[in-house]
Amino acid sequence: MKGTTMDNWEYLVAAYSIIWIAIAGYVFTLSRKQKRLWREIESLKARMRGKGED
Amino acid sequence: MQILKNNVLSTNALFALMFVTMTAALFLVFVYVPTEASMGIVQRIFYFHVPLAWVAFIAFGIVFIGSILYLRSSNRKWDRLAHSSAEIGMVFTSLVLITGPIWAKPVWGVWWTWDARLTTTLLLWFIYHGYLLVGSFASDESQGARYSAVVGIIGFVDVPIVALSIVLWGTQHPEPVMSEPGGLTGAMLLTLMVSLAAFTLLFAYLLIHRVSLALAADELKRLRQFADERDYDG
Repeated sequence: MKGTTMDNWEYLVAAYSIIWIAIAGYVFTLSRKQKRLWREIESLKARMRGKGED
Repeated sequence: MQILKNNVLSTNALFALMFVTMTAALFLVFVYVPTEASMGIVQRIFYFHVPLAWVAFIAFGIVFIGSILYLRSSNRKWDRLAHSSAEIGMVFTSLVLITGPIWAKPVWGVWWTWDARLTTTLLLWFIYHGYLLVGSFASDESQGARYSAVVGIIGFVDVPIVALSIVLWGTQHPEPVMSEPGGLTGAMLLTLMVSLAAFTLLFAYLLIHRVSLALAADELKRLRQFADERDYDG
């Protein structure tokens, strides 16, 4: 262990930044996939309803 | 999908609770808790590093239970729960394996050492990476889910090994801080507890969304099959 108690702050910043970037990235990916699936389901249901009415 | 639609209020409440707890945890970590005397400011990584590992253990515990229930019932929802939990557990284990070396470098002088705790945690990462991949090697989906369930049950053996590695082998990794005399007290213990609560809530929130996503994918597949059979699609 080197230096004083306030040394090595860059390691602290790096650790917390990586944690939040990774979690935000994961949440963003989930949210994007969820929207895409929802859209596809709604579009398929609408197409099936349309064909059913013919 | 339906689960998510029906539970918007409860997931919103869970998100609000998680947000408040996480904000409190960040306040405690960066403002309230005193700086540890020997390691200095870098020790504050501990307040998120330990909760990340805690959540990974919960996630793999759910994989274990979900895998047993799937093999007993062949109900696909247990496979979806186990698979979703494994994916989130992998995200958190990856973060444990990244934040650990960042903490270790200024304290131990090295990024990595083949210490028992670190090695068994890395092994855990490979086991659940295998869990997520094994299903895709099977010829059909239910067989893949069965293979995954077997890996999910056997792989869980490594979780208590990781947890007990400090006791079983002499390691460089810090000792358990709450069970030992002279461990964390006062402000440090409070900060750790709030962080543990915040990350547990974050995990619950992510798991609900990940399971909803898996169920939505199943619904889309079912609708496509239905449409193909009746020539609705294209």
